[in-house]
Amino acid sequence: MKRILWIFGLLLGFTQINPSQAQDRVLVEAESFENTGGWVIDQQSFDVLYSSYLMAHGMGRVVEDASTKVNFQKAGTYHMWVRTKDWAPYPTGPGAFKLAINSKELDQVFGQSGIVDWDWYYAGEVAMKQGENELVAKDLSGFNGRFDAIYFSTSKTDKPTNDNEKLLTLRKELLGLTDGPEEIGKFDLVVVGGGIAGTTAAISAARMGLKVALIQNRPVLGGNNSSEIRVHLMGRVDVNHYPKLGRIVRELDNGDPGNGNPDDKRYGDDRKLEIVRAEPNISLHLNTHVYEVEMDGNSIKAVIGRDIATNQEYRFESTYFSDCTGDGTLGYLAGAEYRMGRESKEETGESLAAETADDFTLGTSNLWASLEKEYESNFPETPWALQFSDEYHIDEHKADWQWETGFGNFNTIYEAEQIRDHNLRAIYGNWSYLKKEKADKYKNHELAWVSYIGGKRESRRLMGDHILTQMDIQDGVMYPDGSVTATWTIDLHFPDAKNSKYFEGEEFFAATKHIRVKPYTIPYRALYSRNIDNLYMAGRNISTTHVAFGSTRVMRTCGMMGEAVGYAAYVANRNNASPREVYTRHLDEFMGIIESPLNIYNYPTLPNK
Amino acid sequence: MIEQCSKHFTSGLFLVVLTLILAGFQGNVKSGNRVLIESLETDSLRYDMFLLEDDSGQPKGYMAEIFTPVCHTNECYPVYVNFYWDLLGNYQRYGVPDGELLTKLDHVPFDAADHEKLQEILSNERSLLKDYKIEELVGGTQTAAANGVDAVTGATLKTIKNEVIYGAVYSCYTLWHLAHGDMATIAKAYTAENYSDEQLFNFLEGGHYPYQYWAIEKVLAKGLEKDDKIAKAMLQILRSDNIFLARHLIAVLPIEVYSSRERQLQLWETLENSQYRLQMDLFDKLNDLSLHPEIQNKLLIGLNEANPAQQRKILTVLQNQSNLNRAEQILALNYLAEGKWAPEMEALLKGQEKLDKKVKKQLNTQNK
Repeated sequence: MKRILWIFGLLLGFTQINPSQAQDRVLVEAESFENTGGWVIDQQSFDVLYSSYLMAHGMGRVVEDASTKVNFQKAGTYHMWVRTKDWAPYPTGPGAFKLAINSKELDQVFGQSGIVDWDWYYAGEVAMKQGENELVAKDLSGFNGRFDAIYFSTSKTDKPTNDNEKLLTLRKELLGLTDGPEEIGKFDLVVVGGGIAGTTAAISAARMGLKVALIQNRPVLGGNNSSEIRVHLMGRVDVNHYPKLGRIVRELDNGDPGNGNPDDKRYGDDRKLEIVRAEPNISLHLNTHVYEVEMDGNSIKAVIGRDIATNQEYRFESTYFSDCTGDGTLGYLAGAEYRMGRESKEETGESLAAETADDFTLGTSNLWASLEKEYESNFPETPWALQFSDEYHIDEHKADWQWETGFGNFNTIYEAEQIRDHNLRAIYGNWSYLKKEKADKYKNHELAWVSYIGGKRESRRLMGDHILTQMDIQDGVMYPDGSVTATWTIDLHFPDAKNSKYFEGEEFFAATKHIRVKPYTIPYRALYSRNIDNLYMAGRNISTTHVAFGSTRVMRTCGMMGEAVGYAAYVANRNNASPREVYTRHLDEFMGIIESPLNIYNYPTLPNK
Repeated sequence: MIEQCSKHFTSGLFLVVLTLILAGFQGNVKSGNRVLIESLETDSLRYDMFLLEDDSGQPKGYMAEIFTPVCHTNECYPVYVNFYWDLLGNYQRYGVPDGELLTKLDHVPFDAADHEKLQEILSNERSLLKDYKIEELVGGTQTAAANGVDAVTGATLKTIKNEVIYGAVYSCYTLWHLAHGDMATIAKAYTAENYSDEQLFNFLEGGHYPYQYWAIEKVLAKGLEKDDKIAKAMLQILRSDNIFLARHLIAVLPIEVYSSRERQLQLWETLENSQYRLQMDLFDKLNDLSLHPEIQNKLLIGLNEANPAQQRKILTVLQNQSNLNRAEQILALNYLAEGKWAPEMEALLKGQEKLDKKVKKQLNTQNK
């Protein structure tokens, strides 16, 4: 149905919406290909590109073709442009691919221009039939070739704009999205982000009877703990000051497979989905990236999400919202106050703070694993990747948390693509070295899995009425609204010294120093925005300093934040109160539920019908 | 078991007598392919340390025949072991002399896996053992008695367990500190005092990167890069598989090494065949050099094949060139006419000390 709408929109796009255009135009979004074959949809740069793209993530093996059918109202000769890039221009990258139209392969090879920026590449003239035409994308390397869109126009001078914001307007126009998004409805709580914190927030609120929408921009729930990223759950739920908190986290917990386990099943994607789908009060929206908000004064009125494949837009209205995006995307869009990077010692008074404030953040991991097989295998040479030698390489058959890029060298939001690509260049360069130069040890090892979704640790932190600090943690301050118990060390990664020596400014391997803490409680006031009146947050983007974030950021702890936010939203909704007023006026009620949802209301697990 | 250990140690002390013979030893004594360079005799350690030579008389490493009692509280047992280091005192391997055994708890001899593990432990230069005191690795006497003399206990166990062999903590600890302690320092110092220029050359050519780094440092300290043979050996390193060493060399080599036409052509050939990261370093290096016309020409022509990042580097180098010959000036003019890198080409031409008359004329015409 969505696809039909989309094609309909497409037709509208070039026939009616813009009658002043003399030429005929067709835009095909890569991510909307009907059959993506072995290509994957990557939405991680949506906040930069305002679009997802297709990528041939084959770990060095050519992936299956992607194909789609496109309707052209008029037959004719069209000029064609492909929006793509050379992701590893050193001097030219491996991401080569070709396109075929109606079974005829074009000569041009894309993805190897030596230019890292996204741009429209002219692909010559093509003859298109009236009605259905077939487009096929043929990967040539398995090394992450990618394209964003294909554009056809009868005018040779009609090369589309490359400015991302202007291109968004053009995309909407040509995809027929100018009439606005489809209405999903009005909710009590809309949770943006389906990681552990978002999922628990949605479940917690739904079980208290709220009508909840959970919006996740991937096909699976769990975020860093999903099979797409494979970070294990850390932080304890067995030493809680309020022991009833953490029950939903336990439900979602699929056991501990460690980091980057080659067996995707161990991370329990299905378990998480089933738990959420069993909640009648949750309206689940996977593959939907929220990128716009509607404000009403200092409150969020609605959010607009876009399907990462079909590009259909949806609108969600709600009384309360929770930013569980990790990046603090929703808060940012709404104008919530936030911090990113490190505060100075002077500012926070923390002994572990930086001397001067800067934009250093913890990095992003793309985990990977190999498996030993009964046969020998080779891996391609990777001259475009990071280079290693006997003097320095990482002699490991799989990744753990140390494989990490960021550290202020890259912005974890706006350079997420570059970070991922840098991780890939480290992984593939090192693996190529091991396979060739350490064949005795690795000849039978084969890459089993390489994550193409970055496991982010740190980006924006949204500011609440309380900003949790190192002193709060180390002094074990018990605030009246102390609700979520956290146990993880203050765990602030930095580039591994040896890695820095060999890759200064482009480190990809981390070290850490664990500063042990006693279990402490995170106050509720760190879980709502101080300037957006109906915005909660749970997860790594809550209101903490950089130093305190080093401890709160682990996923079981984030999950308990989500549970607390769900309860708080219930109290707020019941009393027609703002998140702040839950603290100022209804704290006892809230803390009563934190102590036990059954403490005050003995019916909460049944839906409000 | 403990008593046995003590006996071993006690009997070992009788060997002190033997050491009196060595005590009077002075100077280096050569026998076969090894030269005795150091002997030590204390209550807790005894060794003879040798420089090993290959068949042509070139130094190839160091070894020491070691006796040490491994002790905890009042219990000791003897360990006989041979250690091998490279010429810079980097630990390489160990061996156990014929008739001797390494043992664990209860005198259980090391099996093959234990030996492999010990080799791994000793090879780890950055082992956690470096920072611990032996007392921190084990509990008190009582615990030791309960667990046997050579066991790890308590909280330390988790941190350190990969760095030791269970039941042989003292051995691991003692041997690691021997492998990475004074003897390693002595070895490195001996090489530093006795190396020859030929040895430096051999180091540069040998492909063993620790030697290469060391030799580069010595060469530069002594100004030996002026020697053609040494310089060639170093320039050859730029073409080696070790990109880190090559990048280091580019950073430290004085630019005089690249001043001749021949060397510059050789450098260009290196650049053409090298990995991208190194290429970028080499382009930066060209900035510092007074370039010969052939190189200027190759840079101009190279623009066509380069990717945008490389083009930026090349254009930066070209901006420093104010002595282009006529042919190159025409090349730049042609680019300008084609609209390729136009601002840079125009600046390049205008920056020439001697601009060819025809080129100047055409440049003026184009500007009109």
